[in-house]
Amino acid sequence: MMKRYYGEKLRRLCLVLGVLFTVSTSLALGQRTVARISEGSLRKIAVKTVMPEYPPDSVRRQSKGVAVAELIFDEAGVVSQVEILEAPDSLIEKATTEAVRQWTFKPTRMRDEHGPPIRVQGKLTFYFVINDQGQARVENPKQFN
Amino acid sequence: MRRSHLVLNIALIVSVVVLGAVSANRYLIHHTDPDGSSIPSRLMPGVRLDLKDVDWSKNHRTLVLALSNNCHFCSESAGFYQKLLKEINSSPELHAMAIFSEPLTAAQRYLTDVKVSVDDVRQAPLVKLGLDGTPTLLLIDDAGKITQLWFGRLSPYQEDQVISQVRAVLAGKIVTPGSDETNNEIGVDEVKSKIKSGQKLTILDVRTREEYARSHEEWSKNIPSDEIEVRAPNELSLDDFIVTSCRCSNASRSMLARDILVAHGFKKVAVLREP
Repeated sequence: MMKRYYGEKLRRLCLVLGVLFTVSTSLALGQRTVARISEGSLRKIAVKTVMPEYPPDSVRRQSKGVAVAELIFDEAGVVSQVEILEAPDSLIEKATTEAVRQWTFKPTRMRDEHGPPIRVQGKLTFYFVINDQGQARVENPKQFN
Repeated sequence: MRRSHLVLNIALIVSVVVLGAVSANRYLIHHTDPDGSSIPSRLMPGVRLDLKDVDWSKNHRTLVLALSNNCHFCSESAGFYQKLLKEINSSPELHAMAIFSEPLTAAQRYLTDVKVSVDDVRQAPLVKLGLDGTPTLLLIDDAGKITQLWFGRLSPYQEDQVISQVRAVLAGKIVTPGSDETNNEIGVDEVKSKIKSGQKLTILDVRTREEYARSHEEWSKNIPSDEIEVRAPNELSLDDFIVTSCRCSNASRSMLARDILVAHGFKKVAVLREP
């Protein structure tokens, strides 16, 4: 009787642990590695770059300054997430998001060409400039020109 | 029944092993930069480069090229290194050294192949030294401390910067982190009186945007510390007097920001003495 009771308990315990294992493994595998790299490194591995367009309404309102986007690109080099950390206004924020979403990057592997493919996170900086003559343009930081 | 228990127990053991392996893999590689061109946490201006059997005091400055035979960025930068080393041209002020993880014979063969000629070639464990990526260029003072460093393949703008720094060393005009000109601390009252007297001064708050949004000085500018390298040369003037602030007890982020600014040619930089 006692043997049967403990046998049942053990079976239930194993079942609970099995379920916990399945859930935790799925979560752990779901959180794929993201490597953070500098803007210089990010720009070096860019395959396709698209400059944001200066929204005409922002030009009319003399809205200018820096926009900083943080992005994650996936194992295939395609941008999967974009967050604007700083922008002079919401139109510039939208224009920057649209441009950065079109960037593509060289797929990146950990350590060397035999390492596992990884997702990469980094920042991109753009300057929305209006000169004294009222001409508007979007520039990369001068180090990357 | 026994058989099912056995299967479940084996599944349990396997699950623990797999979970451990997944976690270890995740934590081991989380912060690595795939092409090695971000700043390794251990190496920064002011830190000593722990290279065995090198007497740094023999030369006023040493230019160290950390290279690798298999690094395509190193080979692509060979033209720049040739130009840079031509500037030095056996000057007693500046000694040129190349360090490799690979054996000396392979390193020397590689340098011959890419036509880069240095005064000294050494084999050293680059990763142990904090050099996670190649190529890395370091300017070392006569005490073995890093005064400036550049990672990865450089843009034409950065190459010009390196050459102008080398020329400054040769002309004896270099400003280094820790020198009197850049090692200043400045109090809040002094900052206020300078602003009142009309002196052009920028308080650079290097905290995160979230920290800055919570509270900040009215006249300060926020550039988070990880964006200074890119944004400072575009948004600050080399002639401005810049005071770095992080509102942290040991001013570590302010000091790191100061060192990055100095490495980019800013000459008047001080750290705000936090109350």
